[in-house]
Amino acid sequence: MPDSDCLFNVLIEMARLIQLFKSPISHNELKDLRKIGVRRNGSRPEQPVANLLEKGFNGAASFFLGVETMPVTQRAISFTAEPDVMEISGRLDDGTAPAIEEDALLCIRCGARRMVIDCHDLTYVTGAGMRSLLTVARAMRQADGRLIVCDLQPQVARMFAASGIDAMIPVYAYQSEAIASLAG
Amino acid sequence: MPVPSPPLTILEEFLLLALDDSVGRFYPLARSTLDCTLAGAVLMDLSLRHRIDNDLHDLFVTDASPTGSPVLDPALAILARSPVLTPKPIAAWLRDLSASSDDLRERALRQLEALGILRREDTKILWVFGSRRYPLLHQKEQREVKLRVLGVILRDDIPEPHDIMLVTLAHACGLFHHILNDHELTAASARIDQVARMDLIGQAVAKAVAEIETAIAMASGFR
Repeated sequence: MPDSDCLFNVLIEMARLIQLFKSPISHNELKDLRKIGVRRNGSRPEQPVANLLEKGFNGAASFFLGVETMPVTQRAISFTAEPDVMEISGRLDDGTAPAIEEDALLCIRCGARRMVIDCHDLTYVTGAGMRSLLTVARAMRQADGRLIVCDLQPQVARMFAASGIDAMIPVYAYQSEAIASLAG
Repeated sequence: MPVPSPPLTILEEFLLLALDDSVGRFYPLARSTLDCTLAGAVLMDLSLRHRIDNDLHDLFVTDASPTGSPVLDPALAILARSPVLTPKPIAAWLRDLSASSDDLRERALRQLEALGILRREDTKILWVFGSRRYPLLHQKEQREVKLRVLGVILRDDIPEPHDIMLVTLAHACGLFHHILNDHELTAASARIDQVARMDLIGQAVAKAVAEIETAIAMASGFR
């Protein structure tokens, strides 16, 4: 049974989370989301996520999203200009896919409408990873946006081809091509 | 305030899809085909609950902790038996689970009864032959599953993983021949083929069913 302090803190975090989503998030703040993502192990993030901390994002996120004991795959979201580029590296599997999916969905909820998922450093994807990509692509299409993946490594390309998902998510060889196609 | 029911599993939804509500009986599917399909449904449920994962060749247990589902946990226990966490081809897992498909089906039906979706009705024909029916108590759940599946195969949207799995299973065991008319089947054929490829466990089910059917056909031919 959680004590009343804990419940009170949870309510405060919920209120802050609601406040967060009521106010638009800037791209700079979104850029910082990756740091929250890779730190989803219960530890408090450091600067430069002060803005998000002020809005109570991390506390609420760590409460609602649970605690990861294993480090997730390395990833980075860079918001240099439209379109948004999300680079995924390592493995996209049952352990890592939920967090990456969540980041991407959050980006879409916050307004990203043209997104490239760069898989240059993604070496291995499983069924769970493919489902996450599909879920993100579905959300993007429902938001009238466009999602493209690029630079598939051999195992990832085989998974795309075997499942036929390349018919639903456009695949480009290079990030530059993907960005150019979105710019058009 | 009533406690909301947990969402139905793929296995439960597949059984609802395979139930001919006009007579309260399941559409006639070959026993071996159904065994394999139900085993595939359980693997899909476990993968959606983050207990197993797969790549192109193998399927592996990632978390052997119980899901809390009386339908899925016995199956997970089978998969998690030693050697734990050893990858095996998806087809091998299907064979392992197919052996207990009667139990899986029974548990899923009991769960549907417990949720008040259908009831079991045992009758005697000519006072001798037992006959069992499963009349629906509410049409809502079955109608909702059918609408979702039809929505996937009649539209070009990117489907949800859960619905992809249902379509994959229905396609693998030939269920669409029962729930769609010829015209609908022809119109949706290309889309069904497209969606049915999208889940690798479903692909393995379809391949296993095709092998079973080939073996049966060959055995019949040699008689």
